[in-house]
Amino acid sequence: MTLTRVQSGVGTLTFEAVVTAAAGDLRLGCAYQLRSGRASTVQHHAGRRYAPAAETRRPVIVANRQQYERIAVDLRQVTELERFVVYGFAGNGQPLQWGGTLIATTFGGDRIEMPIDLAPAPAVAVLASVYNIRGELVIRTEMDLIGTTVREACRGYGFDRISWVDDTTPIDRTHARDQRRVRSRR
Amino acid sequence: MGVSLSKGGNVSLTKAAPNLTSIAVGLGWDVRSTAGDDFDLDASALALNDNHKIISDDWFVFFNNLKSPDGSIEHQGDNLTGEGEGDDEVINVDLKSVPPQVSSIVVTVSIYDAESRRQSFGQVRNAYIRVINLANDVELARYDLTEDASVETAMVFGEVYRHSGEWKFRAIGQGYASGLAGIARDFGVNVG
Repeated sequence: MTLTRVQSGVGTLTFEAVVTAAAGDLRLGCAYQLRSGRASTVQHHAGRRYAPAAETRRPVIVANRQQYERIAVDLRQVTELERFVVYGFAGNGQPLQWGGTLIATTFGGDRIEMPIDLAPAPAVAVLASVYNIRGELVIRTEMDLIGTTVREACRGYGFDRISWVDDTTPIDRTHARDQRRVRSRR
Repeated sequence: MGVSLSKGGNVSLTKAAPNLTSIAVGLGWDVRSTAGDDFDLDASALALNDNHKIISDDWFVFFNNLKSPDGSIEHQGDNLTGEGEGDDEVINVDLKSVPPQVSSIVVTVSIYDAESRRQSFGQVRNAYIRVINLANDVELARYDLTEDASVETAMVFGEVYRHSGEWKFRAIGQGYASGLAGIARDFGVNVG
């Protein structure tokens, strides 16, 4: 679904995983890439709540949890946002049964409901992707069981600017152009 | 220096500049220095029909929609903090290209995230709107806002409108406590 420029630029766009305990310990994360080149993830479960990392005054994306896990995007800063994906994973490391619904809600209250209709699997699933196409956010249901780790899921969706401490934790950089990546030859 | 208007006053831009083809609507403000978050004020323009409602959502020109569908109204970009001399934000209007179904263009300013930052126009000083003839950079009209708007988070500064074959400018200074979304909804924009 393509949001209008008004829907893409006013207020907050939220993604919420409405699930029961039967689904397991489903947690949400978000891998993002900004126009500046900065890329990383947010996960409330890991205490990494803001995008860009450590940007607590004006974060573009905030991961939090109220009744359900939630990802909130500040649309005032939509011009800085290139793309992001919302992914689900097991907070307790146990295989998820999945189920429930991922609901995207615009500032005006319009909802996009995406059933989390996946087979039980010990995997990370990319649930939805969002691309900023000339000011309009294009939301796509993915429901893609991809990889057993967050790192694999992010790489599967082309977030190759992210460097990783481990399978779950990205290295947050302050300036993408200062990045130096040394690729070892095999 | 152009005509200085009071709230509610109007002036004929066409009479002031008979060969007028395009204008720049410049907006400026100063924010009171306080501890806390920076102010982020955003200008926007809404092209309205005879019923004073938006032609369509595409005619809501703001930071995420910098041009009207035909390009006759163009936002010149964002000034995040309002620091520095001169106009803080500018919206250009190519008057000869504005389609006939557009009866007026309302120019507004809103404070981003005003509620959570606890900001209002009560903390904004020296706000103004002015109209400049782009052909020669001559200021045709100006309105200096003087209201004490302690709860308003958005404001209609002024309006460029058609009247009897002329283009005119009216000083408005009407405040909203509901931010950009409130103004947009009031003029029929589907904020949805």
